[in-house]
Amino acid sequence: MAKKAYKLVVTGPYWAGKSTLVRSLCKDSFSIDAQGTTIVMDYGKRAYQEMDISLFGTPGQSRFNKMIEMLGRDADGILLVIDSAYPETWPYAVTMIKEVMKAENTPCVVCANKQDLPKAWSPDIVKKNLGVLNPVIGTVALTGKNVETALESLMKLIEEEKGKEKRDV
Amino acid sequence: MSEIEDSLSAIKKIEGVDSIVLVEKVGLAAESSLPKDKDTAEISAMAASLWGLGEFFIKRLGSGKLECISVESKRSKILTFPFEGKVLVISTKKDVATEELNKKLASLLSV
Repeated sequence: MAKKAYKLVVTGPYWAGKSTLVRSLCKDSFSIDAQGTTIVMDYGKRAYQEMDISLFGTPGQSRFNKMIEMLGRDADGILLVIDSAYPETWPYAVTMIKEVMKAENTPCVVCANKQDLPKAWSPDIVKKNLGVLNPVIGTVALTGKNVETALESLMKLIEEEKGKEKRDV
Repeated sequence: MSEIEDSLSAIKKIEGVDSIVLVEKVGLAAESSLPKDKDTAEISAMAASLWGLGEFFIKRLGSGKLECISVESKRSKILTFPFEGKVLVISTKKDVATEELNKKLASLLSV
């Protein structure tokens, strides 16, 4: 029997740690970048339980919105990565999901990344400030801390969503 | 006017050439004498993405340095070339005089 395949999108503002997160979650990954900034995408693939997962990391700067929109199409789930120590970028993170990707109802988990920085805000404060109901997990993509937890949390949401869809049919 | 600027403006004057933009590989319009309009920022981001993808393709699936990416529709043609560490984007009508364009481009790219 063929394995179930899922498309996950890793998005978020510039310099939040999206590429690092993709690398951290997938041993098999690549990034198309210029001078250290993603200009096309990051891509990683891996297995999760009995499933095949493809992770697509988007660029973070608004001038690449078309690319972000394109990569976001038909995503099964989203990992929204934000820099916990840089609250000025948080409002744009929410905009990316709602307006750029038009994926407000897609299962989404927020990675409150860079929790190792002294000025990092806690996941609870991040959640309150973002004004979202989605799970917010404190991560350190650089060391891999909690990135698996974030993925597990997202996969759980996706499975719940798929279950709901089946019931609705 | 420098030889480069001269060639760029000569290309711009070819009948059928709609626009010409010089793009930094990080997706911003490069400093040049070329006119900028409301679409320049978007063209720059898309061209950098396209070029990044093209370089990746060649590296993974082909060999040598990427020399051109051409995107065509029934009515128009967009050509991108490496130029001075940047990407030169030329948008033309499909039926543009290719020979004249190639000649001008050859002289520009050999500068």
